[in-house]
Amino acid sequence: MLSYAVQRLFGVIPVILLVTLIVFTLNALIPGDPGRIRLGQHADPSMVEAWNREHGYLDPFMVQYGRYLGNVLLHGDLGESDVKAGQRVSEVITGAFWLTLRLAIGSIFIAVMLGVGAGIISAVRSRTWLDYTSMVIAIIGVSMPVFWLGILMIIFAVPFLNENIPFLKLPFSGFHNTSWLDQVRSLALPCTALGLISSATIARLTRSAMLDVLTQDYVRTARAKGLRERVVILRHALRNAAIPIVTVVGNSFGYLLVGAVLTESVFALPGLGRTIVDSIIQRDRMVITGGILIMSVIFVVVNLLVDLSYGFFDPRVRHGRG
Amino acid sequence: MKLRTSAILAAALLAAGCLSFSGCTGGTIHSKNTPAADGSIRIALLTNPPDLDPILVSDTTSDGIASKIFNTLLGYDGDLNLVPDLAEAMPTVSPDGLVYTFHIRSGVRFHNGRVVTAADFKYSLERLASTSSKRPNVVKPILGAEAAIERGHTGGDTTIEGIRAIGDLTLEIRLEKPYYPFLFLMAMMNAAVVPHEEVEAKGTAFSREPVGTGPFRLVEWRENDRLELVRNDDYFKGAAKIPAIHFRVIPEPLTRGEEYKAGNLDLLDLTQGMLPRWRNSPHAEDVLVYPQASLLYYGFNLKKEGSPFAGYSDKARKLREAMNWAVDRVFICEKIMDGRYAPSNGIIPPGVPGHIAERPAFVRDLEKARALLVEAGHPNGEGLPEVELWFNSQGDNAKIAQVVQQSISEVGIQVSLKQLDWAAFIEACDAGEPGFFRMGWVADYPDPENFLYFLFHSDNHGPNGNVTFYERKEVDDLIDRSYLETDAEQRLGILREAEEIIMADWPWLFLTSTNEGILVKPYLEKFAPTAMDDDSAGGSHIPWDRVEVVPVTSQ
Repeated sequence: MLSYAVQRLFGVIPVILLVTLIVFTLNALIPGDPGRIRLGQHADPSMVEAWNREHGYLDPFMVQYGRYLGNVLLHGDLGESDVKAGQRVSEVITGAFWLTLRLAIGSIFIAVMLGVGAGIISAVRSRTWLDYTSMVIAIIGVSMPVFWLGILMIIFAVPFLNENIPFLKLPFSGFHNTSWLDQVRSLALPCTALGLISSATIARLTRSAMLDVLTQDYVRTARAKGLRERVVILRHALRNAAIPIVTVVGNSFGYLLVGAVLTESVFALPGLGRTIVDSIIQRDRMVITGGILIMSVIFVVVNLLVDLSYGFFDPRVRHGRG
Repeated sequence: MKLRTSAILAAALLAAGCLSFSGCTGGTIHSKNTPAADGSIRIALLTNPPDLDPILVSDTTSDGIASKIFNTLLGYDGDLNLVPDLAEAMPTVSPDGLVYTFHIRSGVRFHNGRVVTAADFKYSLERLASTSSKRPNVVKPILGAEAAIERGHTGGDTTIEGIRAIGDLTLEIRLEKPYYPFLFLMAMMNAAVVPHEEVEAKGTAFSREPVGTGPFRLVEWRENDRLELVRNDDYFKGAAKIPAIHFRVIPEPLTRGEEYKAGNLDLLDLTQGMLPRWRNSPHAEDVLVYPQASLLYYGFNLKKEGSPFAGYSDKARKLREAMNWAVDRVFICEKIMDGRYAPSNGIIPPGVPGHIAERPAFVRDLEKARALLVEAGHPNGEGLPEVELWFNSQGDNAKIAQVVQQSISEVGIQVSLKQLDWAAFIEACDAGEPGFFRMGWVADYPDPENFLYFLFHSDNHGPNGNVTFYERKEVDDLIDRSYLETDAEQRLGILREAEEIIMADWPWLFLTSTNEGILVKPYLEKFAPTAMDDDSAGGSHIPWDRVEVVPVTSQ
């Protein structure tokens, strides 16, 4: 297992090389001179040239790429923002990443609790009102844009909840980090919005996986042994249905870490997605490259964790044992 | 029930689902006119400010925030007259108009406690000549500045010959040649005084940890999230009435609106499309619309080869004029821009001295447009190639472009649209690529020269602002003459004459002047924006040290 994990981690290196090369190439191709963007619309062309020279933008493409890669791999240095003076890319991305990580963990927790729960109920109580209701809600959840759900929550849910449950004190937006309770309050709504949307997919998948498993012989055997229904469902059926669910949860978690930009915008959270979209709008090449690089690493690591978790759910899939 | 846990989860899912649609539960409109308990001010920002180092400030958000942290030699009063700020009085000017002598207030301290001296001003102004400066033009009129800027390009010494600190509190600035708007430059944020020891110690990070002399100092900046400013108790004009200003970056207009309604914001700039909604809400009295010293135009590239609209021939002028009379500006202003914009009547917009209020605004006159096309030899646009209209993809630019396209097509001139993002668009305009394009201008200072020189003087072709590549010797001469004129009225007369000549050439499709729209809580007193105050970040010239929070009896 360990050697498999190490082997996969080494696989991150070509991904980094490829991603940085692609992003670097795209940055070089898109219009917009870095010096002009930094110094403004009315900057004198000679100043723009001087700035570009000072920051290495006049060097050949491969020299720029090699220098960037060297800084990243040897010093872990993602450079300084092209647009904002004194802003280290690593600081911007780290700050944004920790917030997005909390958002993703909270959201995936809600998504798994609701999605797996609803999926199991739907499967166990198949073709009952409970099944139909859960699945109708799941379809609504799959179809609903997350920003719209977020806006609905801000307009209706926050005033309603704050008025009726005063101790909740939910903020409309922003990340308030003065205490852990404030952090929870700040993330409650965005996590719920993201979690509800993701839970819909998980619920549908859990239902179909569970329906498959529940008809298997070993489930019938477990019931015949006189095991309690809860044990049959949770220990025998759910564990065997887990692999597709874990794959979807893992992918969802990966997407939540890198793609929560709409939720972050609606709830004014300074997360990773918003940081990168803003940097794309501003043509901040260093932040774009650093951000996409970090996103790629996150995706590779999350996928690795998902793969490794298969061995836990299904002993037949233990890695490194032939 | 065998699966109670799951059943509870299912119930939770249902409840959460219902909650997300809780509009049906009767959400109430929160109208709270209660200020923050500590009397601090809360302002929403649309974007994170890029930089707060004065030499890097070039956008309105950064300018608005930096203006609360820094001071300049001169500032503006409520009528946009120049008044002393860090200078003790208005400077003395030598009879030849070349030497300006400023006496600096004594005892003014930076936020780090050190007393401000004339040497700090010399240092701060010379920084503007370095490569990292976004606004070297602020010091360009000073003797020796051009050479210093040249040296700065190669990382050399940026000492400017014409700036002298005489003793601790006297600053003498000698210009290359008389330049009337020089004092306006000394009121620009870029010319603010900074402590050299802080800049040198922090390097580029000074932009993120600025130290100035202003009524507030920055204590926290969380990128893309918030900036916290607290009162500078040692402020030289007396400590501000409000203890702190909290800026929060909230990009989504609906979220900003809900925060304002709930009483979590005291000031909110209205993004496009929001004005009618607020005017028809219980908060209508909070809406404040005021003119801004800015304008919107569609420019013709007068040097575009092969374009029948380029050049100064009678025919080309008539074609451009015909397009001007074809456009429905009222529709644009009323229907697209929520009544926030007003049809243009010239180059110098309302709020700027020299604006001619009596001159009628451009109206739609299709008959006149058609007649001009006949005179130009293209009745109903016959024989004219399709005109490509370039614009950048932002806000309502596309909608305005479509109205212009439709309006002009009614007289027979076909227009196609080409949309680019800002960086690509501005690069193309600077290079003279588009023949017909959207552009705007926001005044750096309230003076007609700021419009006429940058947008029409042949010194400024391309990136400096003259993207129509307009060139007429009489206009250059008049603008140049205005620099030598010391009588304000005479000078305005000269600049108005230049404006008339330019307008007769029809280098633009004159579109609109602009207004700003904001929401202000009624308990905010002495908050009076001028035409030089952008709607973001609480404006740049509002004396925030005097703004007060006076609670009103409210619901």
